[in-house]
Amino acid sequence: MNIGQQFGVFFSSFFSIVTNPVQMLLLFGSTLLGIIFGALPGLTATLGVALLTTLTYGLPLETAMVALLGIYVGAVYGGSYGSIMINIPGTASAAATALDGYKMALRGEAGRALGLTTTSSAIGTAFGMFFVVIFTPLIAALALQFTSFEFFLLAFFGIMISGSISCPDTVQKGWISGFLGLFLAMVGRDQLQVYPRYTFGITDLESGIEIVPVLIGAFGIPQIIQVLKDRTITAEPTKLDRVLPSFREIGRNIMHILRSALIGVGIGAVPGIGEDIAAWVSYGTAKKASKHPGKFGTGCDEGIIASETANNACIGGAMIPLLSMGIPGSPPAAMLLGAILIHGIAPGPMLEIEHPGFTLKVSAILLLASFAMWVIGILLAKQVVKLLRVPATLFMPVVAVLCLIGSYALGLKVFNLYLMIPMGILSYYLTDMGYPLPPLVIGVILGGMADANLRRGLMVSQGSLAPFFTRPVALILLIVIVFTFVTNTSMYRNFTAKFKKNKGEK
Amino acid sequence: MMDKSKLRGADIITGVLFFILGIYIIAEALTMPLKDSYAGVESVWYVSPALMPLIIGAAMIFLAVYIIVFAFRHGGVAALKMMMAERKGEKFLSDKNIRYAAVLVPLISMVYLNLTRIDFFITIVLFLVYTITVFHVDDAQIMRKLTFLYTAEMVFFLLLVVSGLDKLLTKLFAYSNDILALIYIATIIIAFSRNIRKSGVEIYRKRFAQAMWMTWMTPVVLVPAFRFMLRVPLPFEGIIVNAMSFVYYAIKQ
Repeated sequence: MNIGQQFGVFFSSFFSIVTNPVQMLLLFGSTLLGIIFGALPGLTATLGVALLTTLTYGLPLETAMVALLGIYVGAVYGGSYGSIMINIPGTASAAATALDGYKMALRGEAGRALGLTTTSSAIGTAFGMFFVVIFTPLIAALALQFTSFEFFLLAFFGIMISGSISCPDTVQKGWISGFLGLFLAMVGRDQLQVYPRYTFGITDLESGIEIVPVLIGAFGIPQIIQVLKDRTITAEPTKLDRVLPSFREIGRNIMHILRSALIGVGIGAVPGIGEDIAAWVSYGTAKKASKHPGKFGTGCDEGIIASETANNACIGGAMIPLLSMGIPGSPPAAMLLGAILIHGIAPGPMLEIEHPGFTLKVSAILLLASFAMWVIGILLAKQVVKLLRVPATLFMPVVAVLCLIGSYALGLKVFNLYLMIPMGILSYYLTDMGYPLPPLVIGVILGGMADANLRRGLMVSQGSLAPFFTRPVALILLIVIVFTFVTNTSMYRNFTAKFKKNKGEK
Repeated sequence: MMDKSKLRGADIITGVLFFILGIYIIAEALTMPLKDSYAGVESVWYVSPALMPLIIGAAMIFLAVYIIVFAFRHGGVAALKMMMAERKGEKFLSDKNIRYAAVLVPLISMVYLNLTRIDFFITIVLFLVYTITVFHVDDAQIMRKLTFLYTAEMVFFLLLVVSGLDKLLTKLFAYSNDILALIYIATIIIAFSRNIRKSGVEIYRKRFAQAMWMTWMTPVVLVPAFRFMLRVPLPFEGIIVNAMSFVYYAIKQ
C-alpha cells in the first residue's frame, strides 16, 4: 500500500466508525467504563480489557476492537482520578501522578489538574497512534525476513527484557517467571509430533492451556484476593471545581509533552513493559530535565503531565510489537492479543498480508478513543469522581463472578475455570514474593511459537546451530540476550564495581 | 510485595520449589521420544518434543540455584528462621488467616463444588451473599462466625457429593441441590442479620442493606444477559434459570 492508499484506508475506517451510531455509542460507553475501571482502586486496565473480551467475543472484530481499545485508553487515563482526588492511584500507571496531583487538589486545583491530565493523556494517546501507523508496517516488513531462528530468539528476548525491567526484585526472578510461562505453554500435545507433554493423562489438557483463562486468572484473581484480603480504605474525594483544560499551559509544556510521549511509546514498544514503568521513567526524566527539580512532588504541572502523557502514549507503543510481531508490549496488550486471537486473527508479520488495513483501523480507533476520552473527561469528571466513594468490597466479589462467567463463556469449558483458580492463586503468591507476572504471560503466549520455531529451524539446518551466528538479526538478538544475562550477574557487577574503584584510586 | 526483610527467607523456599520443578520438567522430558520413533516417525534430537522442555528445565534449575545462593548470601537463613518463629507464634485460626480463608473458601467452593451442581443463579447468590457482606461489613467477630458457618455448609455439601447422596437426592427431586443451596443462603442472611443486630453498630445495617442489594442485582442482570442475550448455555441450569427460560420463551412466543 502506498501512502495515499494508507490515508484512504485510515480515513475510511475513521468515518465508518464516526457515521455508525452503534459503534460510536460503544466507543463512548466502553471509554467511560474504562475511566470508571481505572478510577476505582483495585480495578485495572488489564482486568477491564479481560472482562470486556468475554463480553465482546460474539461481536464482529472491528466492533469488538472499538470496545476493547476504548476501555484500554479510558482505564489508563482513569487511574489519574484516584491519584488526584484521594491520593490512591486507581491503577499502578497513575502512581507517579499522585505525587503532584494530590498536592494540587489540596491547593484547590483538582479541576485544573484533571484538565491537564485529560488533555495530556489525549495527546499522548494520539501521539502513540501516530507511531503505530509509522512503525508497525516497518517492523512487520523486517519481521517478514525472519526465519524460525529469529522467532525462537524473539521469544527469549521478550522474556529476558520484560523479566529484567518489570522485576521489582532480582532480575533472575523475572526470568524464572518467564520460564515458568514457557513451561505452561508446553502443556498439551506438541505442534510437530502431536506428542502429549505434561498432561497427566487429563484429556482436557491435551489441547493445551488456553491463553485467555490463564490471563484472567493471572491478572484478575490476585487482584481480587489482594483487595479483599487487605483492608481497603475509601477516602473522601477532595472538592472538584470546574474541569478546565488549560490550553495555554499545555502550549507552554508542549516540548515536555512530546518528550514524555516519546518515552511512553519507546517503553511501550518493549515486550511486556507496562504503562506504570513508562509513567515513572517519564516522571524521572522530567524531573532531571527540569530547571526547578525541587518543585516536583509539591504539586507542579510538569509532574502530572509527564506521567499521564507517557502512560497513555505507552498504549500506542505496546500496539507496535503486538501488531507487527504478535508480541504484546504491555499486560493489557497481552489481553488484547488474546481477544484478537479469539476472533481468528493472528497478529504478526503476516497480519497486513492476510488482513490488509487492520493496523490502520486500529490506529483510527485509537485516535477516536483518545477523543472520546477527552470529551468524557471534560464533561463527566464530576460524576466519575462520585464513584470513588464506592468501596472496593462492594464490587470486587462481582468482578470475581464476571471473571468466572467470562472465562467459561469463551470456550464453554468448565475446565477453564478449574485452571483459572490455581493460576490465580499461583500468580498471587508469585507477585507477593517478587516474581513479576508480565514475563510469565509473555512466556505462555510465546512458548508455542518458540518451541515450534526452534525445532523447525533445526530441522532445516539439520541440527546445526550455525544460523544463530550467521544470520544478522539472529546474531543481534543473541548478543542482546547474552548481554542482558551477563550484565545482570553479580560477577559482572562485582567486576565493574572493582574496575570503577581502581579507576578512582588511580 | 512481601517485606524485604522476609523476602530472602521466602526466596529459599521458592528457589527450592523451582529447583524441584526444573528437575521434574527434565525427568518428564527424558521420557519423551528423543531418538526413537513415535507414531511411526523416526525422531532426532533436534525435532524431539523434549528439546524445549529440556532447555526450560535446565534454565529453571540454573536460575533457582542462583536465587537460593543469592538468598543465602543476603541473610536468607536468618529471614527464614524469623519467618518460622513468627509462624510458630501465630494461631492457626488467627484473624489474618480467617480473612484469607474468607476470600478463598467461597471462591474455591463456587468453582469446584457448586458450579456444576447448583443452579447458576443460586451459585452466584450463594457466593455473593457471603463474600460481599462479610467484607463490606468488615467486623472480625462477624467474619469469624460467618466463615465457620459458610465452611460448615460447604463441607456438608462436599460430603453429600463424595458419598453420592446428592445424585440420589436429585433422582428423587431434580432441584434438591438448589433447594439445599437456597436454605444455605437463607441461613447466611439470618446469621448476618442476627449478628449485625447484636453488634449494635448502626453503619453495619446500612452496609448489610447495600450488600444485599448488590448480591441480588448482580445475577438478575448477569444471568439473563449471558443466557438470553449472549446465548451462553450456563454451567448448570436449575430451578431459577429454568424458570427464567420458561418465562422468556413464553413471552417470545
